[in-house]
Amino acid sequence: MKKKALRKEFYMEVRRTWNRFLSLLLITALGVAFFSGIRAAQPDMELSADRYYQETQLMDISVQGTLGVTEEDVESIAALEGVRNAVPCYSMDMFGTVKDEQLNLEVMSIPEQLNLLTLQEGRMPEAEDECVVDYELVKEGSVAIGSKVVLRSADEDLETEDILGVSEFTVTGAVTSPYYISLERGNTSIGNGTLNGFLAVPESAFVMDYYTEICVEIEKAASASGYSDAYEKLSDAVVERIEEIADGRCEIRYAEVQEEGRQEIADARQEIEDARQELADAEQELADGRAELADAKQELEDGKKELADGEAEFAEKEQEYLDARQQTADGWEQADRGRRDIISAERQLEGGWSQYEEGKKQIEEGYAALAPYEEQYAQLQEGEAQLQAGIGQLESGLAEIEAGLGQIETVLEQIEALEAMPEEQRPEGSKELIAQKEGLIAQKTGLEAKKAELEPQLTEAQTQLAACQQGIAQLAPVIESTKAELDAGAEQLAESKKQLDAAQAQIDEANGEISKAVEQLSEAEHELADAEVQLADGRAELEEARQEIADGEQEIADAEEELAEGEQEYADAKAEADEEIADAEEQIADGEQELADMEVPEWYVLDRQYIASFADYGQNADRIGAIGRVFPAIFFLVAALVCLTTMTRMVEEERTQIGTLKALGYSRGSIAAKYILYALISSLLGSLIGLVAGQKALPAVIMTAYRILYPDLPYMLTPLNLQYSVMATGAAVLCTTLAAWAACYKELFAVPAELMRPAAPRAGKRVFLERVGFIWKRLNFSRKAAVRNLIRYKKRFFMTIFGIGGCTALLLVGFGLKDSVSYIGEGQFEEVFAYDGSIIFDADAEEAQQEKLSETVAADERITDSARMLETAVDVEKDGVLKSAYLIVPEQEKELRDYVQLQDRKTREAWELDGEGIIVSEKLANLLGVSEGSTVTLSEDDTGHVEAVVSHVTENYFMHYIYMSRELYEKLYEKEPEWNTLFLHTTQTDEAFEEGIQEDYMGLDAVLSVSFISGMAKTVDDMLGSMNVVIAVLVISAGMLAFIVLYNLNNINISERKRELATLKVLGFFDREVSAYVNRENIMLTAIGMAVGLLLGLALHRFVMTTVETDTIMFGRVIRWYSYVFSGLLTIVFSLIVSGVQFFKLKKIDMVESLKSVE
Amino acid sequence: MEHFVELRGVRKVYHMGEVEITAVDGIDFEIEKGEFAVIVGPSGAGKTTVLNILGGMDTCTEGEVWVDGRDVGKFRGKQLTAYRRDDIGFVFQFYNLVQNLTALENVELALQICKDPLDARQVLEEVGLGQRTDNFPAQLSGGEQQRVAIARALAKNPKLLLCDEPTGALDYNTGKAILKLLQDTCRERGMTVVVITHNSAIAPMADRIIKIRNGRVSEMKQNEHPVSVETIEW
Repeated sequence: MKKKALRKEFYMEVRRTWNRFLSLLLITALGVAFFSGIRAAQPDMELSADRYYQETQLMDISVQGTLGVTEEDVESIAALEGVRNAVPCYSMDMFGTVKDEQLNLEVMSIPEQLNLLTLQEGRMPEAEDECVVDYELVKEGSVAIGSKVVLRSADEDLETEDILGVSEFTVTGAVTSPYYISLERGNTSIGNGTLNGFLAVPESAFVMDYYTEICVEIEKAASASGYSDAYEKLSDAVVERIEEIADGRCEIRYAEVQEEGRQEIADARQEIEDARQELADAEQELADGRAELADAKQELEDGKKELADGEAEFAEKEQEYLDARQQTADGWEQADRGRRDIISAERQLEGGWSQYEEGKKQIEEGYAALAPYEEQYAQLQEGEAQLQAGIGQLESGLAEIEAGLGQIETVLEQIEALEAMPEEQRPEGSKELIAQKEGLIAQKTGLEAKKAELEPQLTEAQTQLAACQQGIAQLAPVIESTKAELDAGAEQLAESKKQLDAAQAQIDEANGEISKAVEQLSEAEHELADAEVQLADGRAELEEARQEIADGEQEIADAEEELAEGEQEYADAKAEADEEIADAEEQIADGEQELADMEVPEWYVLDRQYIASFADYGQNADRIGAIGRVFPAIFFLVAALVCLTTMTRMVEEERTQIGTLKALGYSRGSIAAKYILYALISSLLGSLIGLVAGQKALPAVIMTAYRILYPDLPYMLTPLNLQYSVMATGAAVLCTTLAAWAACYKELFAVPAELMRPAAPRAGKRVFLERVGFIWKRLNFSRKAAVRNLIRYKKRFFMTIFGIGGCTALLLVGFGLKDSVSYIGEGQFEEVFAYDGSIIFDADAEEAQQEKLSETVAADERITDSARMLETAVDVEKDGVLKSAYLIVPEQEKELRDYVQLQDRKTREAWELDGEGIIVSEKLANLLGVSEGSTVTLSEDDTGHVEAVVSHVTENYFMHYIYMSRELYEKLYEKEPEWNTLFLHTTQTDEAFEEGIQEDYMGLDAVLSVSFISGMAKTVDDMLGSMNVVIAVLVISAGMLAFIVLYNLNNINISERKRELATLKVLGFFDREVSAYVNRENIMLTAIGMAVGLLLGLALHRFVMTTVETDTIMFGRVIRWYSYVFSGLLTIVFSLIVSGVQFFKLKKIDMVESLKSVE
Repeated sequence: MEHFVELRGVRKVYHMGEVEITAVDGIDFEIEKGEFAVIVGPSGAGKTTVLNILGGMDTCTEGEVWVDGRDVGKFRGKQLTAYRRDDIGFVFQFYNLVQNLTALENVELALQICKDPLDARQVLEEVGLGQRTDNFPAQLSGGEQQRVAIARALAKNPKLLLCDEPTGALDYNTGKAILKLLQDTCRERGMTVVVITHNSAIAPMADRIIKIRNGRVSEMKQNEHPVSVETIEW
């Protein structure tokens, strides 16, 4: 556009028709955004997943052998063309017990090169008994970091110890694996058939002598998407190459295993031999032991005898000693006695002596005593003489007295004094002096008395004299005899002295004898002491000997016991060993049989499509892709048509100007350039905005939704996609520009004059309806006008119908999608599954435990009723299509009806199980392409293949199920079903209630798991929740589309009919009447559009439903009535909004301006 | 107000951005009931603006517009619409028929909203289109279309029939015929008719001639002896 004026005019045009420019821009933006955005969702999803796969080195191919794989296999695969890396690894589905809960876990070695784990929490294992677990398990709370997991082999033929070196692991962390990006962990052949998660342990924890899997990385471009065809081709080629060497490798492996087997059998035989030898040796040992024991006993016997002899000798000696001792004691006693005799003799002697002394003394005394007597005698003689003298005197004294009294007194005093004084002390002189002195006094006084008394005295003196004389008479013989006696006594004394001296001599002699005896005794005593020591020694010796014998006996007892034990042990060991040997022999036989039966192994070469979450994610991306191919296309088409209409209208409006320019001589090119440029710029700008906004926002929204399903996918990449950008932009720009060109094409070839004239208004025409008189006549005037107007503006008519219809259809699909998706929950868990929960128990558990479970359930008030079932995972195959499903066999056919509703989805006809055929769930039937009467093949891991006839197809929405009667099961499998599931009806279904039941029953030994329908329903709901976002995207975009289309078309309509509307206003139509005039048409258009839209939507819904479904899910096919209503209502609401906006636009129409001149 | 139509000091100023354009600058005139009035003036003199104001299609900036005792100049919005609806019949240079409706329907379109309409068919007959009632505008000649337009205006039974260059797009004879129709209508029905034209030749047929120049009435005179259209040549 070189012409300055034209350029200026173009800018002015844009500014003047800013609204149109903007709406053109927006509608292209929306169209392009929706188209490229939804389209890009698939590649973006794939890219995001791919980034993660590349980062974590997700393997491309997995090779698994039925007999395991070896290092050599790895090497030979690594050597293949196109293989970049081949890594062997371990992986095994096992039972894991955490607390009381049993989980089905995939136990794998922590990968180092491929399938790298990403640590999410905790740390990686550092010791052999540490492990990391699936992050999902940690998130859902099944396993806590730090807890212990006990692993147990799920394979009957394989001991846990043969798989893992340790069986109890401490969980140190939670990881994610590229192998599992979705919530689902897939199926397994163990337990209830559902894998709960994975667990990774250090490779060294595995003790298997072969690897279970080889992970292969192929040579591929770093940028090649794992979901691309190119990748698939590469992968297929390598798969093929691996499969080519598979047979060879398998042969080798076969030979190896055979050899190993044979070796093992040989080893086992050797072992049996060894065991036998050992037994024999043990027996020999026992025999030796027995012989030794006998010898020992003999020895003991000898010892005992010796001891007895020794004891006898000792006793003898002891006796001797005792005798000697007795003798000595006697000796001592004799000695003592002797000594005592001596002592008593001595004492006697002493007595003798003392007697002697006494005698001597007596004699002496006798002599002494005799002396006084003699003296007395003498005295007496003297006395007599005296007396005689006294008598004489007396007689003289009397005479004297008579003569002299004094003198007699004196004399008397003297006598008295004499008599008063002791005889011996009577001094002769003094006495008389005294007596004289006193007697002088007394003689003076007494001489008179004595003169009286002298007579008695004289008589007395005479009597005394008589007595004295008598005494003398008496004393004289006594003194004579005494003297004789004394003399005899003295003689005797001398005699006894002689005797005493002899006794003394005897005693002395005896003393000597005794001393001698004592000496002898001491000597004997000495000897005895020695003997005692000897005896003590002998006793000690004997004691020792006795102890020795006792010890010997104890030893022998011990030895006997030991021997008995040994014999017992030997017997036990032998029994055991025999049994073991028997077993071993049997095993050897089995092993030999096995070896003989062993088939050449097979390799399963599985590419990424066999990774459930990879394939699943790919399918989801494909599904979004499918939606992306349908919806945006409709959307885009509508947008393009709107652009076309807008451009046509623009050219029409400027007809006169075109004519003027032509008349002025501008070339067609420069005239057309304005419109083409207008279209180009607006659509290009719109496209650019749209493709950036769309490709950034929409895939992000969709991927965010899928995050719920794939929580472990860390990336969300939304790069601009060149292909779709160019495609959408190109289409949008081309559409609008071509529309502009087409619109001016006609005008450009008209002559200027014609263009200058107003375009002949489109002629009014009678419409078909007018010919149908009875309808036409009933229409009031305004309706007639409206009908005619509709038909008159055909382009608008179709555009609007298409726009509104598209909008309604999109809304209906959106709502319908939600209906169908949510129907899974309702249909499956309310209609089909009438039971509330199920308890899976161990069919191999002891009878008593199962019995206990039954009793507990029966007694539980919370559980209204229950039924036993067999529920197991099976593979179903028909014409090469293989799907896995759950096989359910009820114990009582009649009971099944209370728990599962078997019926035709459409006719609601109820099905019954019979002995003839199986009932298959609908989606499974569809996938396999089977119907009533078809035959399918069922296979389980442990049983062979059986063929069953499909008798009915039943309504089902989630997972695949096959129902079979007990009778048929027994017929097909030739065994009784192993009941492993209880279906329950409970009184309540709230979470706490169900948790209570779960907790109570998990405690029972036989129970493996307890699950509830409400929980499953929730899982499914969560899973499908992501669809809500897609639905919301659809509904919102449908709304926007409807709005823009209606708004734009209305604008065009109004501007096209401005004159007509102005006329109406001039005629005095109120604003609302003018509005009603136009709206009547819009209402009709909306009604027709809605009807078309609902039909279109229904068809589209069908298509979308089948495209969006995954294998295991069947969405409801029914759209609920209120979805139709909602779709209709929303369309009407959009219509009303547009009408509202339009009302103001109509009001603004300036009559004067509009009618001033013809444009 | 003794006059049926009376304009006093009517001014109309358009604001085009910052520029003020005075289209009508103080118009005063009056028209009596049943008169056939012609407003003449050169292009751009403000005739159409006056007519628009008079017909309730536009409002005046200043002044009073009395029609049948009511100051239309004060009307706004709905009042104006109601005024147009009940009191005014419009005839345009370009007929402004609704193309999608037949002649009869175009008339009926107007009648729909009227309080006291005439019979559409009869009015069409009266304007000489009794045979063409079911024809679409495109099937009618210019004169016929204008007759439909007049019929549409008349059928509303308005107090005032306003015609903006009714013959502008017609050939001489047809134009004459239309003018005749208008004059007859005025005479026969006692309808007050106001015709705008730049053709001063038509003036003699009017009862009252109002000349406008530069937004002002330059001359207003009553024609004591209006002549029939047939006698006028231009």
